[in-house]
Amino acid sequence: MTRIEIDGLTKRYRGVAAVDDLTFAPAPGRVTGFVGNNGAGKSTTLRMLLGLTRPTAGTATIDGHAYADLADPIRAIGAMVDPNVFHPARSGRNALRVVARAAKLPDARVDQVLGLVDLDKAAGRRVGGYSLGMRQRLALAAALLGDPAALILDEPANGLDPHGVHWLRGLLRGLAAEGRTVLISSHLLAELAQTVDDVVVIDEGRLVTHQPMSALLASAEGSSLEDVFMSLTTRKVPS
Amino acid sequence: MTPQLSAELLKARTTRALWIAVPVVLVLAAAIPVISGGLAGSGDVPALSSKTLLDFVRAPVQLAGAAVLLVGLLSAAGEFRHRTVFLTRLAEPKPARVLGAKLAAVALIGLVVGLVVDVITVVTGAAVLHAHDIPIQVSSYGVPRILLVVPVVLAAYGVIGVAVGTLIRSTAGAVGATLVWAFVIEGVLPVVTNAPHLADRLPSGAFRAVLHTHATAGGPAPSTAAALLAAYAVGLVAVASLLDKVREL
Repeated sequence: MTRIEIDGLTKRYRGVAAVDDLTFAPAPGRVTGFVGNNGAGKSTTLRMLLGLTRPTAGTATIDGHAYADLADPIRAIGAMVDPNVFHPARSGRNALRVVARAAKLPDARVDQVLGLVDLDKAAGRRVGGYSLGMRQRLALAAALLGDPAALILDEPANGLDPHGVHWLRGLLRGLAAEGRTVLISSHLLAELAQTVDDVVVIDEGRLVTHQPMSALLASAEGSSLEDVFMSLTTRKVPS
Repeated sequence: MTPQLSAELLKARTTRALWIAVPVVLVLAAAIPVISGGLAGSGDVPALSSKTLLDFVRAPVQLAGAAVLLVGLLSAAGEFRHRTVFLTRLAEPKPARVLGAKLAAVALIGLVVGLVVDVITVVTGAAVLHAHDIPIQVSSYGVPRILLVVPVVLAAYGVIGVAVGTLIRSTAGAVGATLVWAFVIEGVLPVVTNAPHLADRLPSGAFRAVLHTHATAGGPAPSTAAALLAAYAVGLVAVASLLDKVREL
């Protein structure tokens, strides 16, 4: 089981805190939802955990190691940070083969994950012709390439159709049932409520709450996750 | 071959830059001796001689260098344009390893392109000379040395391309900066410093000088030019590597 720990994590941009002394640890074998308003610091937190952004203070570790120090990062953590991380002229299969080569994974694994995300028929087509949902599935396939012990997914349901969302929910639940740690950030609170076991709410870079979904809803006397979220976070009025 | 180098070579093979730039260079490498042979002896164009083979071998090098430089620029800066750098860094989080693999991959491409250009220019050039009943002397006039230098020079162009692309992180910016450097700054610097021979010691001049068989008036010897090129490449790679380590994505 892979243990992810965020401890006192802080990121400041020109003195402004994007993430402020954040501490939490998603539990192995459970799906943890990571929610917050736009600009709350979710993506920055995930990027620091993945070594893509340097923390100002604090640590984000996987089994006690920074991502950059993992011996085999792709097998330890499967990450999806953005669906738009593929060269548009490259085919879906070649996009994944590039990652597989770097991670010393066989090309056969590429075809396996393409089948898993139902992209096997489109695998030879250029990514530039993919819909957002297809790119989302391709990014998910990239995250699953190393059969990782933990998954970190930033807005994985964006662009998926209802069948895709249903499929994703089943996939994440199944992966958690195998003992893997699953951390997902999402704005789709109604969907998240059906998928996650635990919820981490952040607001303006700081932890608001981290508790089981059932306890969170019970404490709010049967309100929805959306109602609880609204009551816990700073209201942002669109300009 | 390291996994990262294998990944970088696959990246190069599965994007268009390589398959557009290199065939253009190879066609021109074959065409230059044919066109030169047709024009030789007319107007101010010197007549063909055994020594012309050396000119045939040298002729496409700058064009081929520009193509390999472009492949290098795009392989590094293109990662940021298409955001593929995120997947690259997730698979290999250490930026120095990624940069090292990119440098090795593009240098290898430069070496291979250089060898193919050598073969094309020698075969086409020899055919043109033979058609004009001129003796072919592949082992004379410094031809063997230049045949060895061409692949190394193209590899150096590739290394410099990767370093500039890593420094600038924008394909348009990297290509634009390279053009401004080559066509403006290298032209202006010798004038403003009142040092006309400086041009032969700046990167473009050094690339030209290394293809000579001996030092030209005021210019560096080919060995000095090679040392200068190595220094430029090492310096650029060192700065790119340093900045790549401290800059965030």
